[in-house]
Amino acid sequence: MTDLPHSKPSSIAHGEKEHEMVGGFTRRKVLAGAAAATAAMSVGAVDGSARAQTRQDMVAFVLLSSALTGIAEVKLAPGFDLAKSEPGSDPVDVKQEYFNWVNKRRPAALKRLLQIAADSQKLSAADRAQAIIDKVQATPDTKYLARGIVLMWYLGAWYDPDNLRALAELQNPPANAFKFEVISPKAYTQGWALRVAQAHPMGFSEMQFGYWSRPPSARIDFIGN
Amino acid sequence: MAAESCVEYDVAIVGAGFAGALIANELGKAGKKVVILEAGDRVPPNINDYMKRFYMATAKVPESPYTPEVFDTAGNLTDPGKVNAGRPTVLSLLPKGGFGDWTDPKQSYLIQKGPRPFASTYDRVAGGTQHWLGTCLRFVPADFKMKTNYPSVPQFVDWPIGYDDLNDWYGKAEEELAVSADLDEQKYVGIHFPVNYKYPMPKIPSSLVDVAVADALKSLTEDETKFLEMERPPTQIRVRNLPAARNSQPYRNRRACAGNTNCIPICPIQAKYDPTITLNDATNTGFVEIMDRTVASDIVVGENGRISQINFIRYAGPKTSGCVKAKIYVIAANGIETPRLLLMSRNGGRTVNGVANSSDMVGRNLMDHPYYVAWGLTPTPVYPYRGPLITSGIGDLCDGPFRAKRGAFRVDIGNEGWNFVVGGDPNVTTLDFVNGLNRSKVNGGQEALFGKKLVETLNDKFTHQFRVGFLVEQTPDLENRVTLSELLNDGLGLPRPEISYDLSDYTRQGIVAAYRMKNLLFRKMGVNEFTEKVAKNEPTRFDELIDDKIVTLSYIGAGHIMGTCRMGARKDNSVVNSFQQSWDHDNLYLVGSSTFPTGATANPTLTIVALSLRTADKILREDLR
Repeated sequence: MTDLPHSKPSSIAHGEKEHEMVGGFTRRKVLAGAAAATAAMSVGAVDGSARAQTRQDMVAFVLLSSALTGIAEVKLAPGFDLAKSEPGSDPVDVKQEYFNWVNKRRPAALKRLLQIAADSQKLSAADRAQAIIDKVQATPDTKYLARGIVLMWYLGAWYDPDNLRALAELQNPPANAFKFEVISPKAYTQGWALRVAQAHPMGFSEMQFGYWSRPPSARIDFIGN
Repeated sequence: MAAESCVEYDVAIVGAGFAGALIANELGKAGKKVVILEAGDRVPPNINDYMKRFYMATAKVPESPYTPEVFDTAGNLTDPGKVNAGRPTVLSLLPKGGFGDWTDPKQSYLIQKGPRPFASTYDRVAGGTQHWLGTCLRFVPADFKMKTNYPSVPQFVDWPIGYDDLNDWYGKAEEELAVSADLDEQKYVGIHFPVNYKYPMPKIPSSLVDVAVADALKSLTEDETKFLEMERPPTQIRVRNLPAARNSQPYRNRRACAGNTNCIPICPIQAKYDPTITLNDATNTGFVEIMDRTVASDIVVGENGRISQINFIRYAGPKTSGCVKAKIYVIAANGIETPRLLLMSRNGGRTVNGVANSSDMVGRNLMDHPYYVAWGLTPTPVYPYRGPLITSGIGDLCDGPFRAKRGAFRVDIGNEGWNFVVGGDPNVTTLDFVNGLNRSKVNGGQEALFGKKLVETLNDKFTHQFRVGFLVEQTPDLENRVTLSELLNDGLGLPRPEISYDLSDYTRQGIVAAYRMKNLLFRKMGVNEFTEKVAKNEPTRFDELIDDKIVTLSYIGAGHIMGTCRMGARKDNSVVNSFQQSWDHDNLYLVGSSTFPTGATANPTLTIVALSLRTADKILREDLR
């Protein structure tokens, strides 16, 4: 179980996504019952096997991650340099852990996401992020894996894309759809959610005594954007 | 079960928390041979394992870094019937019928008989006191004389000692725990200090959240604060920095606080004092030995009425039984486990109601500080998730004429945003805006965002998050009590604690006043409130008529377990005297907040430590001369 004492799954309002096609099922059909929905979700889970990673794959992964998270490439992957196809050189290297994690679980959807990112390289930096964001949402498998990747970077935790889809699309998702797992101690300490808030992961401060009595540095200092 | 031979010591202590550790150290320094029986696992050589368990926990609740494991391998709450030394968890305080059902003994270590849940938890291993906040408030003088000052409240009793008896001991406690505070700021509601007194370190700076609250209080009017019935001008309601056992500079080989915002569950750099530090000092004296995974099961009374030995069960390897003999025995096992051990010790029927219980007060008058919490978004950023979890509070409302009618309260100002109130932020709000949900209630449009919009939205929400808590005074009530389960045992076959608990009208009226104060504070600050509506099946729910409207309120636990072995001036209505010495057995001491006759509103730790040092001094001066 993952719920804290005061967390209570909210009911998911419906209507705005009523028209959306979900893996060949209309939303209405999906809502016909949790069992049917679970069957529909499992279509997305059949996702091939992990494949070897190239340098270009990691460059694409960083571009993809930056576009989806809104956090600068060099913050996610210090040393990243697109012109030199350099995916980053930091010793912490949490990106490799995330890549391996997703590649093991969702290789086919990851391949599609990496292709979207690779295709965007020819665009200007200003247009790239929006182009990636628009394209990943075209199909449910890329959309929910993209959300899972954002949550990874933000929280150091894995929210299974099938669960994310159930939470987003079912009126009464099963309680265990809120389940998630922390990827590793390293991943937790590298989470971006509270850096976006100009703070730090709870239990992992890199700041000095008394910093809390002064306003924080600007957001751009934390996330590069 | 194999039997170990009985070893002899000068003093045998049960429990390695604040009280046990500090008394052991004082005695060890004086060359007395001491053994501590600790029910939990051994204290690890460093905190890496705790940190790893904390990082990996999906529910980062106070007990998450520690053992025994909260969850079993199947992901369910560990069955307390199978655990050698169990502990309560906040995850087993949830509504009936599902995960964490507070009435289900397969999920809750405490057998909760109600009518309401006792909502505080405790831990093993050094008393689990690594997950305390570090707040080191003194009680105010009036807290010791509640019957004299407020005779209209029938439950109140006086302490057999007063503030002036403890003033010097408070100073020694502040020295031992290494408290950071500003002396002048702590002089209020009668608190005074010896001449030339100094806190060990300068205060911990206040947060920006504290400043926002302090600014809002400046414009309070007489009219707005009439409901408090404090009979003092509202200018006396002010934000004060909290004294804290947290280093504001390097001290005794430990670092200054780096603002990890994680005092609970665990400070990753041990800038906050915890009893493992004193345990280390104690064992370094060469006179103190700690036996871990050793559960005291029976206090044996000799023919002369003195305690003759304590029997234990050890589970470090194959279970063994054993005993220790000593001149003096000290039970320092917290407000639930201490009465449990006393009640378990029946001596073949010679003490059928338990040891030290001729007054029938053992286990009664269980108190906490029921904690009322509310949250919202501030109009301008207050930048939470920075600094210690709490740096300031409002303490001036802890005493006043209103105490004749309703419980007093202290106000906690949270620096951790909505971390615990919405069920685990930053995760909840982040998941909401990434996946189009609204568990936080701030994503009413159920937007699912990527990129820059996500960054801007989360930055906006997180930097405005604010939460406030109220520690409310609870009356000592005879029927709020710890007894033994007749049916349910732990993994060692020992009866588990059964808890009966309720809130008196006096206590509930204290929560009502806290609710009104919250409304006033939020109005003054311009806070947009998001406090969750109390669910129908919430076990701590209660309704009160406030300004002709029915308002549903609830509480959580403060972790302050008090009252179950009360001290007093008379043998017939109290368990121990002012030195925490049993009236019935003069070589037995019961120490810790279980001896508090009334609970006031201050966090109990500093008073526990002051009383413990006083008890150690008494043992050395009189009992072991």
